[in-house]
Amino acid sequence: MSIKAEEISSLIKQQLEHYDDKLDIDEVGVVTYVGDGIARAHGLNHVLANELLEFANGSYGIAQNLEMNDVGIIILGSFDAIREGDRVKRTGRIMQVPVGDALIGRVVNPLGQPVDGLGEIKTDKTRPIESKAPGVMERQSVKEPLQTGIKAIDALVPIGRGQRELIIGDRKTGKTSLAIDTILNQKGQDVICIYVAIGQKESTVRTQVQTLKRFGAMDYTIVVEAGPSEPAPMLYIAPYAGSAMGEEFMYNGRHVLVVFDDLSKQAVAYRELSLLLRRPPGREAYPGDVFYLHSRLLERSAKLSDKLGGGSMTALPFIQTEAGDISAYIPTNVISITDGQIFLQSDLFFAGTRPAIDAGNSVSRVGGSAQIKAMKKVAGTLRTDLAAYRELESFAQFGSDLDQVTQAKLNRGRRTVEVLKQPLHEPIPVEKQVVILYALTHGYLDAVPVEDIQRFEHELYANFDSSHTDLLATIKQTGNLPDETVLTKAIKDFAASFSPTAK
Amino acid sequence: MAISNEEQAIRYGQALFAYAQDADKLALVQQDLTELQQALGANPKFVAILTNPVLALGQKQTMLKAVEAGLAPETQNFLDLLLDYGRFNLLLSVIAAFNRLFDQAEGRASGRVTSAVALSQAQLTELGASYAKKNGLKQVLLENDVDPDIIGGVVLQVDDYVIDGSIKHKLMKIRRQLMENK
Repeated sequence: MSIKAEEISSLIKQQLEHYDDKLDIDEVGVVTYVGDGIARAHGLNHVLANELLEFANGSYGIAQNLEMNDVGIIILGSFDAIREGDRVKRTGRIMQVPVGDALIGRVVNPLGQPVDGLGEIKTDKTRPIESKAPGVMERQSVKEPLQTGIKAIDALVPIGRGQRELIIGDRKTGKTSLAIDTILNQKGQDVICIYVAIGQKESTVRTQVQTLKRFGAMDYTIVVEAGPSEPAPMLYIAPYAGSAMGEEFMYNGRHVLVVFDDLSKQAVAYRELSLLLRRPPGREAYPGDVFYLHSRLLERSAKLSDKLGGGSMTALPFIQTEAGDISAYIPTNVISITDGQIFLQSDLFFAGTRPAIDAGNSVSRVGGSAQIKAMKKVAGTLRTDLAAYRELESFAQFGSDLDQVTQAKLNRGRRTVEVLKQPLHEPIPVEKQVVILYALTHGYLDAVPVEDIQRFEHELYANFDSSHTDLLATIKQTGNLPDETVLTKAIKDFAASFSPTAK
Repeated sequence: MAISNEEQAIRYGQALFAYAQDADKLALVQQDLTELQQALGANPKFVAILTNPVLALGQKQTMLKAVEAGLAPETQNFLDLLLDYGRFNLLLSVIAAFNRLFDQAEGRASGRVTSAVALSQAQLTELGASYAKKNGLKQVLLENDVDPDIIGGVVLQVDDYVIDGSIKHKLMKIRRQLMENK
């Protein structure tokens, strides 16, 4: 390969022909203070809130505090080279990120710049990171299910397209795995996934991206990453950038799933900024507008009306609790904003019930309308079964003389818990979930020893895959239960042929 | 939240401006303040004494009376008020705020011109006049800074606005354009 000097010269010449020699008239201010990720500037009298500003070293900032003779600015990117006395100028624009199909399969930072080393992202479409959420008339009620592929969620706390479902729990309770599994299950369902990692360890994010790649999920996923070593403004804008990328698809009639992992770290980053900007601290030192921080973000998830294309954006925000305390400031805020929460408990997690979903404390306000009819039928009694079991469980530890009914309830409960367990990265399609839950609620598992339940489940799937594909197809296509006599017979036949492990 | 000194100074400045305007003595008051500013620049201790909490108000008033003897009555009244209200520390900021309002009312502005070689007075006046014409001002006073780094052209800064017509800035722009359209 040889590039001639002449070619370069002619290329430059060509570029220079397009050079427009207009005089730049800029409104400028002078930096009076630079601190961790923020700056203050004197001047800039006509600057607007949230306007993008440019520093002398080429870094950008966002105007946050507009005071008399003083502007508080959060700096996006490097602030090492910004000095007191530097000029900062207005750009007249607000912060935007690149959006569109070109981003799919990429790992980007909150500014939309690639960080995966796969070259530049070729897209000329951008969207402002802050935008107004769709209003009342632009929405419709959530009614299509978003299948997570996780039995415990799809059966107990169903999530609909356009819903905002909080995933909350202590550290190390499997929150991220839940989201990754949900993303894996969106394969072939025409859902674009956006995974926003806020303040997550870079090594963890790398592992998640590898997992997504291994299962072929990167073909429909965008990863937005703001690592813990980035300055606080990057962590603060990351979820808004992720939402902007999602909105582009939503307003084009597509379905989007966006995961914010996690919003407590974003709140902490925002607290840092606010304190440095000298905004008055409130409860737990968070600023007064920390509720608005999350509500304006989550409100942008919606199911759009048919007139607007019927696209949707489902949000799965995460909140990390300390020692299971869901009544702390940020958790209560986000619980009240979202359409329900999935509560993960460390006790359950360490007892081997994974995913460690606490059925009693988890709810979905959208409920049955986000389930297919067949699932609604089979999962109807599941929650009460489970609640009754939890109540009896502690009671049964004291006495051994239990009547028949109680015994039966305990048996059913143990099997329910067992069926709802699910290994990592193995999402199960909804039609198979319906079959196993049908078997459970109609008592066909009561005779199977508890330790054999998982094996029974797998063999049942294999059996249906080979001999009853028509039944599975019916559930998948119509959403209704197939002819119950046929289904019952198929399950009964299989149960009869199943041989429990010899003891 | 308490309002900042800057804001207080602007309020006092506005009050003084309106007061002088009503009395039709704007030019006189402005002249007084300019003199005062120069005097304070030469004797910074004066403000320090008048804001010193150890001295009694009566002593300070006597001291101020001696200094303000030759000034217009409006200026005297204002200085007395500032002292009585314990805001004498704001004096310099108030003068600056007053001057800004005065310039605005008169259609005047001042700024700086940076050039690679020193500009003649005629050039400065011409530059000021053309800027004034463009922005609906009556007069623009310019001071000249010489900075060989900008290679050629001029950079004009008036208030918060910068018009950058330097060769250095143009080269930077070309560089950025070439980097962007690879």
